[in-house]
Amino acid sequence: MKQIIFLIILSTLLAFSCTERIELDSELGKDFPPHAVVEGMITTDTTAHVIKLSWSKSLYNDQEPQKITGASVKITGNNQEIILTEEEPGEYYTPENFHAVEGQRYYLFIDSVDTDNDGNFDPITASDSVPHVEPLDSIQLEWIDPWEAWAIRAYANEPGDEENFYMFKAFVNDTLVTDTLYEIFVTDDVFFNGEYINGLESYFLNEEDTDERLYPNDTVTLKIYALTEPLYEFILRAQEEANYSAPLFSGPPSNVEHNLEGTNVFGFFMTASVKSAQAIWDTAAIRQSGYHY
Amino acid sequence: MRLFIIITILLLLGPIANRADNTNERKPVLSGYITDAATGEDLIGATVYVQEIGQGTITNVYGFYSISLAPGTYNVRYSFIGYRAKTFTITISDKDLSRNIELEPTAEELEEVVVTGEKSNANITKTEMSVEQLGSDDIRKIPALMGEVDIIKAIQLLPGVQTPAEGSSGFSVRGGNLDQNLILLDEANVYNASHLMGFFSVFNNDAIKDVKLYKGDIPAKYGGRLSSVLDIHMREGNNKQFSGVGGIGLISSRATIEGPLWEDRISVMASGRRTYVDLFLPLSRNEDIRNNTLFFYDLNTKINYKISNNDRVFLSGYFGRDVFGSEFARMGYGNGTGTIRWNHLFSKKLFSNLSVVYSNYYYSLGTPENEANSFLWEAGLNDLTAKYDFTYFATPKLKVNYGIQSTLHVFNPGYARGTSDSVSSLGSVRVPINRSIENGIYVGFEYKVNALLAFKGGLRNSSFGNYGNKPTYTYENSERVDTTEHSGGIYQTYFNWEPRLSMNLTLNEYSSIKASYARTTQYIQMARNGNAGTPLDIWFSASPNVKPQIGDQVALGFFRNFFDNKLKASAEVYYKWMENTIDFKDDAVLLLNEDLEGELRFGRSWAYGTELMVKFQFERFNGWASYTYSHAERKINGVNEGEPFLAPYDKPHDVSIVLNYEIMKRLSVGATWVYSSGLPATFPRGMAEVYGNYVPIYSDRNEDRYPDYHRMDLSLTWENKPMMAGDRKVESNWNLSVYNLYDRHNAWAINFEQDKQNPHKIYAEKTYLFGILPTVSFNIKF
Repeated sequence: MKQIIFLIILSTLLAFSCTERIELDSELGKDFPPHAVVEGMITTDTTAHVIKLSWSKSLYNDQEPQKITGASVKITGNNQEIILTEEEPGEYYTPENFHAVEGQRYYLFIDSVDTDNDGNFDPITASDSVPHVEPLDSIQLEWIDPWEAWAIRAYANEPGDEENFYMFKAFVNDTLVTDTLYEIFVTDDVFFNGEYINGLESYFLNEEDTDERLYPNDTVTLKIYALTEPLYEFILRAQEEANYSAPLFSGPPSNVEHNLEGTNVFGFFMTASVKSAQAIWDTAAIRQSGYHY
Repeated sequence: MRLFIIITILLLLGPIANRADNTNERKPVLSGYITDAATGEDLIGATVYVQEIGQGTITNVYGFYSISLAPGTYNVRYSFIGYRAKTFTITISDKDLSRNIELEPTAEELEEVVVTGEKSNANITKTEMSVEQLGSDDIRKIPALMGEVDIIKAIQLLPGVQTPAEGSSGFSVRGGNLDQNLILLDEANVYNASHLMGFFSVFNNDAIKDVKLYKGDIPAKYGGRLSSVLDIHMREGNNKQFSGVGGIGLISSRATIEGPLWEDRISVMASGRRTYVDLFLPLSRNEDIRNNTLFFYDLNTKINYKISNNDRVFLSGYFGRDVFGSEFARMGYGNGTGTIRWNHLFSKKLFSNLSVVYSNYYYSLGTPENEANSFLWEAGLNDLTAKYDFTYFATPKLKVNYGIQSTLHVFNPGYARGTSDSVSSLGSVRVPINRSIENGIYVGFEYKVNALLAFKGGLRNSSFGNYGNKPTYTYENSERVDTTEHSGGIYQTYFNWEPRLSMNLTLNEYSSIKASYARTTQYIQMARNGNAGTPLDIWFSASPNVKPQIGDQVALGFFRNFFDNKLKASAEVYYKWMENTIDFKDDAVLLLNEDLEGELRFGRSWAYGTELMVKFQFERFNGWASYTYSHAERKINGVNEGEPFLAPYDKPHDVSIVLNYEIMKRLSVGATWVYSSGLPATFPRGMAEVYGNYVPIYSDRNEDRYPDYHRMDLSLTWENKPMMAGDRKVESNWNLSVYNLYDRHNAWAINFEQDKQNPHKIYAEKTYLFGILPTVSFNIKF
């Protein structure tokens, strides 16, 4: 919320400011060692979960990041050992019947990658545990006129005995629409710890976005993920560092802390429990919201 | 402790001792006030020179002077920059003599530009270095952003003072942090001196008489901040006749009215300002912000009552607010201060001032009311200070001052809560209120050994205590590991000695060498991580976890005047070292965080530099040029892996040129040019793709720099022919100010963005705030 207000005020103040591209030192980052980037999440859903491996690139390299192929990737936990198989270059999948179990800790092992370019393989490891999540009672769609967007409001119980961290992802007709880092919404429970989550705005479906525009009888699905604190922090911080920053508001930029162990590594290994709820965008919902075309 | 006792005795016995002194053999005293003949305003720092003994004195901040003289007849010269000097032949018998002097401003004489005021060599002879002084007329002549004459922007043009970001009204002195400046408005602490997120300062120049900045060699009288003291005095108000000043500018209007309620005894001054920035928002390209409200206002008032020659009472106040509102958010913040002062002369040699000062800063932030998720977040602080200062004019050679001061700080770091009437999904978060007390007790002296050598110095004892029933915590790696409850009394104290000493060796009438050392201590600081900061930054105090910051500074200067004191050149070098420097861990959470202290990291810092300045005042041409070379670094445990890194305001090269030229009788032109190295920055080295966006990976902190900053501003002022309204002269002028004359696009922020066409291409993009920006304002004075 704080960030949103800042951005509104900032945009007002900067109403007459301008931006332009500039040339900085073109050598910037040329000799910076490539980092192995891990993007991995397993959840309590039963499906093939993916761990993606790629190399970071130097600042001004405008190629797609190189995939890390041929790695050996393994997840252990809950007395299981899962070997992931590389089905696309750099994308390592669990079997389709795999799901993580609440309360368990899972360990990721990656090998056969040379991260410090010394000719030898360097292991990458990480671990995370699966917190508990309460089911979503329901979701509702509400038209927010000034933003020209549909708010997805979430209703759920919130356990009061601990700090909880949540991530939300939205789907329209089973297509993920929160498909970039910027669009993921994460929150802690500081404002509603132990109280009923009474219509939390979890995502805004933007009318101007072709994949988010709703048509009658579309199904909207919201997934709520419970995360551990370090992973919540990672998403929040990654968003912050990737976003616009201004000297007026931001502290000095700094590397995002992550839960991977290894040399020259970056990214995350997240284990989350997940629940979902659906709403159908039918005429009743439209009328109730006061929306008109 | 012994010093405490001595000073207490001095305080108690001073008046009595002095009375006893009256009856004994002693030299009679010549004393009085020096004021402006046109308005009755006190003149601060005016010179009194007794030709026969070749010695003199200057008036204090209340315009008071006092000098002991053996009975006889003397030629006494009273002078002040910008005023015609007066010499009187004064015969001193064996009794004290009181002479109040009025000096005529020379600016009144537009007809003949012969006398342009006193050319004083006080800068050579005074034991005072690392000090810059500006009058409100000097400030008015400087071209201003959007036509808003601004004291802080003028201060930023002085050597050793750095601007934190384009348009910002914060300032960094000799590599220090923005919160290391003690900003006093009529003795009241101003905690957040900015309007409109920093683009303008809270000081309305029309209400201001005089500004003095101490960058080092800070007198023992002041304490509480490491880097500097910015001492701002409001005008007392014309006690001769009612008069007014007003102006209409592009973004604001101002009006000041002042005059005597009782001629020569009671005068009042009220000055107000209101902006209308929001009038321009509808012109914005972004339709979301066209309906937003955005403005600020402020009000300065002052009343002073000359009860008698020995007693004067001043009441002054400031109140200002910024208001922001949009469909989604609202915000308000501002300062309020109030000062009551009583000047009393126990004798002609013992001047005293008792002040009670209140200072408040408040902000609120929230969403519009009566929505399901409405919330309101408030924070602020209150200060209550009492201080008692004495100046004892012992002999023409020796002046002693001493005093005590005590401040209660009550900081409310933040309280956020849902406000809607419906069953809200938002609860509340409250960070406990933090209470503390800060005391100072000091004695200082100025001693002229002979015509060549003079000393100034003093010793200050500062003390600090936390009190209240707020629990304190112990942290390990930012995690709370232990809690200590407190029952309400004082639970943590700190004491520090702060010696100050400076020396002046006058080589001849035109040149001198000065040296100084000063130790300063700072017990309260700002949780501010951004370069320029925001109105939401909160203050926090020393505590069991946070040790007071201690700074030491040595400086050496050479001063040389040329052309009959019309051109004053100075060179100063300084070195500063500071202990218990506070910084924040990477990605610190500073707002609404009860565990703020866990986010702090401590270390030490150091800064050094050279400041060269030439200041000149010729008949039609005046201004200054300065060059500063400086460095500031710090080493903090837990930041940048414990390796030293550049302080946020390290700008090695800094040039300022300020010129004002009177082309003809009614037309003058002002110009400024500034150049400085870019601010230290941390740019990404690598980019990692996470969920389709690029997240930067950095190497060391502050390894990079923004591009160099430079800018030229210009202003033209056309004085209209004065009109007569009855028997009253009405003067007016038009002012055209052009900010950023050659339209340099100075980087305010640099971001690394993903290209729309090729999302894998990253490019650097700068945001610049102001291109060339002309403004016109109309000013009137009657």
